[in-house]
Amino acid sequence: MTEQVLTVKIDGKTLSCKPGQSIIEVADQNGIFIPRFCYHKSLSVVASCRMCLVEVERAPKALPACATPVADGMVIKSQSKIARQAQKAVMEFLLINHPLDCPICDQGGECELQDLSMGYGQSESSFYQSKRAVKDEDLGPLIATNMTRCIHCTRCVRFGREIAGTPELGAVGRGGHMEIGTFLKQGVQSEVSGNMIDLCPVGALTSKPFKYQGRSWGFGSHSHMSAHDCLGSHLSVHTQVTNVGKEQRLMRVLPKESHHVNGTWLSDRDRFSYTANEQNRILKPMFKKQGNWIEVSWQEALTLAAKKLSELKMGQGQLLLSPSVSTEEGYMAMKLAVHLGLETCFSMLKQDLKDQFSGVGVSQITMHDVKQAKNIVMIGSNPKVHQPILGLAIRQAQLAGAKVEHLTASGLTLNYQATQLIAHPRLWVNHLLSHAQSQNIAFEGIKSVNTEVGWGQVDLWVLGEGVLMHPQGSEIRSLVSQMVQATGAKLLILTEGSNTAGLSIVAKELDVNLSDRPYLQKIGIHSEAIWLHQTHPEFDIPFNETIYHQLKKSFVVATSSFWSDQMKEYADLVLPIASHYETSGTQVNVMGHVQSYQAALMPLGESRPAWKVFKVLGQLLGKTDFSEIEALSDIQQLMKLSVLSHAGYDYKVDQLRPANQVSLLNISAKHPMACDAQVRHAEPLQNTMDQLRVRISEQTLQSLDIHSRKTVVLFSGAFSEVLLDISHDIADGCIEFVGDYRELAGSWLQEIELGNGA
Amino acid sequence: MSSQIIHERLASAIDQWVNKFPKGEQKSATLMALRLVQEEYRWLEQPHLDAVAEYLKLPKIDVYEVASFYSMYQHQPVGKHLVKVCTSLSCCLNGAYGVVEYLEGKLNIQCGQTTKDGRITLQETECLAACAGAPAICVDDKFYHENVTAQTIEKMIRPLIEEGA
Amino acid sequence: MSQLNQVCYRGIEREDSYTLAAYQAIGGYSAWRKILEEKTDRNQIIEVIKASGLKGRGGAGFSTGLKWSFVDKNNPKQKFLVCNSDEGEPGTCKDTLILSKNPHQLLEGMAICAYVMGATKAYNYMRGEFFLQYQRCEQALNDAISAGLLGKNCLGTGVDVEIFNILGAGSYIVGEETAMLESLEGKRAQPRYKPPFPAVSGLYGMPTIINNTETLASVPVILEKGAEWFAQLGTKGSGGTKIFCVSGHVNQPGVFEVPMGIAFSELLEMAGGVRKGRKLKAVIPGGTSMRILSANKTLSMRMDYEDIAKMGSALGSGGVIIMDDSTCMVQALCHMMRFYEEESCGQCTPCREGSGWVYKILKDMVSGKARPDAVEQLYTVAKKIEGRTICAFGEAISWPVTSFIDTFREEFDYIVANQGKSWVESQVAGAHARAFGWHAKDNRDAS
Ligand SMILES: Cc1cc2nc3c(=O)[nH]c(=O)nc-3n(C[C@H](O)[C@H](O)[C@H](O)COP(=O)(O)O)c2cc1C
Ligand code: SF4
Ligand code: FES
Repeated sequence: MTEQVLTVKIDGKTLSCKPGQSIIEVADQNGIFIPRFCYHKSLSVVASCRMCLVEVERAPKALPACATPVADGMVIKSQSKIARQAQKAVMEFLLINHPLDCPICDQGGECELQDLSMGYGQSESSFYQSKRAVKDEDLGPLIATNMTRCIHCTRCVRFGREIAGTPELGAVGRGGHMEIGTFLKQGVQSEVSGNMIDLCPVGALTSKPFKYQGRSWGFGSHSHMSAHDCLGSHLSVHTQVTNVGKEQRLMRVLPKESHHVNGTWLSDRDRFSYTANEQNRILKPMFKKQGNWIEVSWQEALTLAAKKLSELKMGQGQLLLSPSVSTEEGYMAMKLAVHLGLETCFSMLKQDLKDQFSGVGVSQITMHDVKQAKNIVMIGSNPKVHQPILGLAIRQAQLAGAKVEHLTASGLTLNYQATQLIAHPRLWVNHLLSHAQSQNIAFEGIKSVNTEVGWGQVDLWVLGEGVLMHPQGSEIRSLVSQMVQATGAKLLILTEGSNTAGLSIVAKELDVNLSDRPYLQKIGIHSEAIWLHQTHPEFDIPFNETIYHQLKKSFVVATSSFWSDQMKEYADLVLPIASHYETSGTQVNVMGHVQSYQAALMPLGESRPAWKVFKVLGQLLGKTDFSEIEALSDIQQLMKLSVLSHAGYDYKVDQLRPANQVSLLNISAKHPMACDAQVRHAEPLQNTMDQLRVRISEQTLQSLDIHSRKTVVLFSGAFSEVLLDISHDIADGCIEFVGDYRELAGSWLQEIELGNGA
Repeated sequence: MSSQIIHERLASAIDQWVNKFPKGEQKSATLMALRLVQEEYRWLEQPHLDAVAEYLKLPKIDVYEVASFYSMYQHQPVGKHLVKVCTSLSCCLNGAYGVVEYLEGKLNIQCGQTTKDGRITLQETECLAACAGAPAICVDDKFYHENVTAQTIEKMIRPLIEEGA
Repeated sequence: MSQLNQVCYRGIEREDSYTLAAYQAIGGYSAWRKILEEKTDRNQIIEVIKASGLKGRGGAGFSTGLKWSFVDKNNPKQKFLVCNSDEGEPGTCKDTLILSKNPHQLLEGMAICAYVMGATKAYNYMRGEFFLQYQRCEQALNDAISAGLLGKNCLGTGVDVEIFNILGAGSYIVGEETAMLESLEGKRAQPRYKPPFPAVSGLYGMPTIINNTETLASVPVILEKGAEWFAQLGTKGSGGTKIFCVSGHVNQPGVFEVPMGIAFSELLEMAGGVRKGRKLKAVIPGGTSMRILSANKTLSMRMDYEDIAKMGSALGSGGVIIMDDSTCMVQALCHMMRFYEEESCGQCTPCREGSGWVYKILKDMVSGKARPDAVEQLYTVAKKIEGRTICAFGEAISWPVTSFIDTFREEFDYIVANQGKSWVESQVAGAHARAFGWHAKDNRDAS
C-alpha cells in the first residue's frame, strides 16, 4: 500500500504531508515557526495554552495548530491578522499574572515566554490589578521552583504521567486558582525528573544546582557522552570561561537528542553528575612518604611508578580498571599491563568469570527493538534504577502493549505494568529450565524440573545486575542464550559502567590477561603491587577488611581524578587524571553503538588525560611502540573498534554448578548513586537518597530468631544498627538494603549476618 | 493504613460504585469514593485522600487533583451540618444576600465559618438548579429548601441545631 | 393559553408520577416494548427523530437525530451513552423535575438511544446535589430492571441496556460534554479538544453519545405519537415543546413546558408577570451564558431557536431570567462573572486568565476603584477571550459582558464616573444599588 499524501498550504508555501499529522508538525518539518507553549513533540497534545492559534481558511475561528489535523487542500495562515490577533491576545493573558522578573530568573535568555513576548507581546500591559502569587514547593535537591512564573502549560505534568510513569506533579485547584504542584509536599522521586526543567518553557522549574550560576548566552557547548550506565546518553555539556584568566568551568549538562539512545531525555544521574567536577579532585601528583603525603613533580611521580611496577615479577600484580573509562584510555592501560605482566580486571561485580571472554559486552539489539518487543522477560534487572533510559524504553514497549515479566529476588517499584516473580536467586536457574521445558527447548544433560513459570513465547530477554553478580551468572547467560538461539528472540545483557563493551573489544584485540577468577582472591593472595585506574575499591568492588589490609600492604599506584578518604590510607602514589568531562575518547555502548567525544574543558590543576600519562609511562619502561603514539587518533587507528565480529554470546555451559547455599543473602545491587567516583562526588545526587533501611521478610526474621521490629544489628559494614522494613515482597532468606546504602556497596550477593536490634 | 480509614462498610459502599464502571476503570469511582469518605469524616485530610488512592490503586496525585477540583469536597474542618446558600443570579435577584445576612446573624458566624458548637457551617454556593424556587438553600449537599423566608429558615435550622446530642 | 406539559412533564401532576405503575398507566415504555418486539431498524428510529425536529436541549441546539447518526453502530467497540443531567447553567432548573417526577420516561429515552447506537452501557450523570433525584432514578431503574424492561436481556429479546445513575461533586464545567466524560473517568472535569468528537472517541476512548436529560426524555413521546405530531407542536425550525424556567423578578417563577415558538409575553404572563408591577428591564433568555436582551427586544419575541437568535441571543438551556427596572446591570454582571471566575476549569489561557481579569475589573467598578477607561478595557478583554478557548465557556464569559455593555452602556459609564455609585439608584425610584433585596418575612415583597 502506498502511503497517502496530502497537500496543504502554510503561509503561502505548498507542502506535502501525511494524514493524521497536525498543522504544527507539518510547519515544524518545513521550518515554519508557529508559537507554542503546551505543545511538545514527545508529549500528548492538550491544546490548552492557545498560543498556536492560526487562521484556517473556511474555519469560523482561529484553530490551534497543535491539535488540528491537516486536511487535503487546507490553507493555513500563521501570520494573518486573525492569527496575529489571537496570538497577541493569548500572550497578553499569559503575561498578566507572570511576574516579569526576567533579570533575576535563571531561565532568562532561554525562556520561551520571553522570546515570544518580543514578537507577540505589547510593550505595555493594560492590566493594573495585583498579580497572582503562588507559594513554592520544595521538590528536592535537583529542581528549583518559582511557581508564580508558571504558565500552566502542564508539560511537566504530562511528562510525569506519560514519559516517566511517575505521576507526582499535577494540577490542583481550578480556574485562576489552579496551581501545578505535588499538592501535599511530596517532592518528586522520578529518576528522570530533570527533564521537567528542560520542558518548562518558563522559569518555574529550573535546575537547583545551576541556580544563579550564569547566563546561557556566555556558554560554550560541547557534545559528550554520559559515563554512568551501559547505554551512554548523549550530552550537551556547557562550559564558561571565567573572568579570571582562561579558566573554564563546567556549568551544566543537558541532553543531546539521539535516536539510538536517549531520544530527548536524560536521567538525573547523567544530568547532575557534572556537579562533582571540582569536588575532592586530585590536583597534583602525590607520594606517601613515611605516612605523609607530599607533592611531587610529574617527572618524579612517573619515574617512581615505572620503577615500582617494573619491579614486579610476572603475574604478581593487578590492574583494576574502571569499566567506565574511554576505550582509548583502557587500550593504553591494558597495553601497559600486558607489557608489565599484570592481570587486568575491569569487571567490578562479577562473582564468576567463566564466560568472560565470550563477548558479553555487546548485545545485538537496538533501542528500537526494545520498544517494539511484545513479551519481555527481565532477570535480575531494574533499569528504572540502574539504566533509566532503558527503563523509559521498556515502559514505552509496555504502553504499546508488551507483556513485561521480572524474575527478581525482591519486589521492584516500577513505572510500567509488569508481573514480578519473586524468587531466591538460587532458584533462578530452575525457573529458566522450567521455562525452557514449557517451550520445548532441550538442554543436553539437564534433567527435567518441576517448577512452573508462565512466560510464554519471549521475544526479548534482559539480564541485569542481578545476573552479573550471580554465582551462577554464566549458567544463566548460557541457558538464556541457547533459548535465544532456538527461538530467534533478542537478548540484552546489561553490563557495568559505560564502556564494558569497548573495553572487552580492545582486551580481545590485545590478548589481555584478564582475570579469570574472582579478583577478590586475586588481590588477597597474590598482589605485590596494585594499579587502580579510576576505581576506589572500597566502593567499587565487594570489599572487606582483608582486602583493605592487603591494599595497605601492597604498593598501590592510583591514577585517578578523585580522592577518597580511604585512598589516602591505602594508596602510595597518586597521579591526577583528567575527569570524564575533561577527556576525549570513544565509548561503545551495550548495543554496540560507537560514539566519540571531545573534552569539554581543560583538565583541572595538573591533572592530565590518562592516555598521555600511560604513553609516558610506557616510554619510561622502554616500550618503543608507545613512542609512536602521538595523538588520540593514533590510538583509535590501532584499536580497530569497528571490528565487532565477536559480538554475540556463544558460551555454552556443560554442567550446572550447584547454587550457593548461604543462610542469609544480601541481594542489594551496587547503589546507583555510588556507581562511580564522579557520581559519588555529585552532592545534589547524593542528597536524593532516603534513610538507610533493610528489607526482610517476616519469615526470614523468625528463622533468624530476631524479635526486634524497629531495627536490626548488622555484623558487617560500617553500620551497626539499621532500620527494619519488614516486607512480604522479598524472597525468604534474602535481605536488601534500600535508601542510602552507599557505604554497604561492597557486599553484593554475599552472606550477611544480622542480630536483634530495637 | 487505608483499611483503618476505609473500613468494611465504607469499602462495600465504594465497591458498589466501582461496579458501575467497566472492569479496570475503578478510577471512575474516585468522585464518589471521596464523597463517601467525606460523609463519614466530614472533611477530607491527606490521609483520607491517600486512603482513597490506595483503595482504588491510583497514584496519589490523581486523587489530589480530583479532590481539589470539585467544590463539594471540604478540605477544612466543617460542622456536622453544611448550610449552603445559593448566591447565583436568580437567587440573588430574589434576595440571597439577605438570606446570608439573616443566617449570619442567626448563627452568629460569618459566611464560611462554623458555629462554636461545631454543628453548622455556613457557605455560599453557585447555582443549585432551583432558580424557580429562589432563594434556595441546600443542606448537607442533599436537601433543598426553596423560597425560603425567615420562618422557613427557622424551621429548617432548628433540627440541625438540636438533633441528637 | 398554550397547552402545558405535553412531553417531558406529561403526567407529573400525579402525586406518584415517578412510579412504574403511574408511568405505564399513561402509555410509558410502550415505545420501548415495541422496539424490542419488532426489532425496529435503528436507522428508521433515527429518521423519526430527525423528522421530529428535536434539537439538543442542553444548550447548543444540535439536531439530535443527526448526532445519533454519527456513531457507527457496526463498530465492534464497546459504545456508551451519557445523559447529561448536570443542570449547572444558572437560571436553569428543568431537568431536576424530569429526574424526580418522570424518571421512567428518561430511562426509556436512554434505552431507546442506547439501542439505536448499539450501546450496552449508559450513564446518567447528575450533579452532586441531586441526591433525592438520584434516589428517584435509582428506584425507577431498579423497578424497570425487575420488570425486565432494562438491564441484561431486556424482555427476553437479547438486547442489553445497562443504565447507571452517577453523581457529580460540584462543578459547573462538568456540564460541558467532554468534561463530563473526563469526570466519568474519575478525573478533573477539563473539556477535551475536539476533534476527535465523542462519537468517535468518547468515554474511555470509545464511541459515545451525550444528550441532555430533556432531549432524551422527549424521545419516547416522539416515538409514541409520531414525528409529525411532535414537529407541529412547535415552529418550523424548532419542533416540539421546550421547558422554560422563568426566574428572577416575576410574581410566580416556575418551569413551564410549552410549545416552541410561544410568545415571550405569554410565557411572562404564565409566570405572573413582572413582580410588584414594576417595569421589565432586561431578559436573559437561555441561561446566564447567553447574551442579555433589553425589554424592548423581547416584546414581540417568540421563544424558539430562530427568533431568539434574530434578537441577538440564543435559546440556550431555556433558563429565562427576568430583571425589572430596579436592577443594577453592573452589579448583576459582576455577580455573574464571579460565577465564571469560580468555575473556569483553568486549562485555556484566555479563560483562566480572562475570567479573573474580567471579574477584577467589575469588582473595581462596583467598589468605585475603576480607572476611567475601565469599560473599554472590560469590553476588549472579553472580546479577546471569545473564540479562543477549547470549550464554549470562553463565550459564556465573553457574550454576557459584551452584551451587557452594548445594551446598558450608560450604567457602566455612570458607575465608573461616580466612584461605584449605581445608575439605577439615582435614576429609578425604589431601586437599590443592591437590587438583590430580600425581606425576612416574604422574599416577594422586597422593599
Ligand atoms: C460551559 C458549558 C456548560 C454546559 N452545561 C450543560 C449542562 O449543565 N447540561 C447540559 O445538558 N448541557 C450542558 N452543556 C452542553 C453540553 O456540552 C452538550 O452540548 C449537551 O449536553 C448535548 O446534549 P444535547 O445535544 O441533548 O443538548 C454545557 C456546555 C458548556 C460549554
Ligand atoms: S474554555 Fe475555560 S472552561 Fe472551557 S476548557 Fe478552556 S479553561 Fe476550561
Ligand atoms: S501549543 Fe497549541 S494550544 Fe498550546
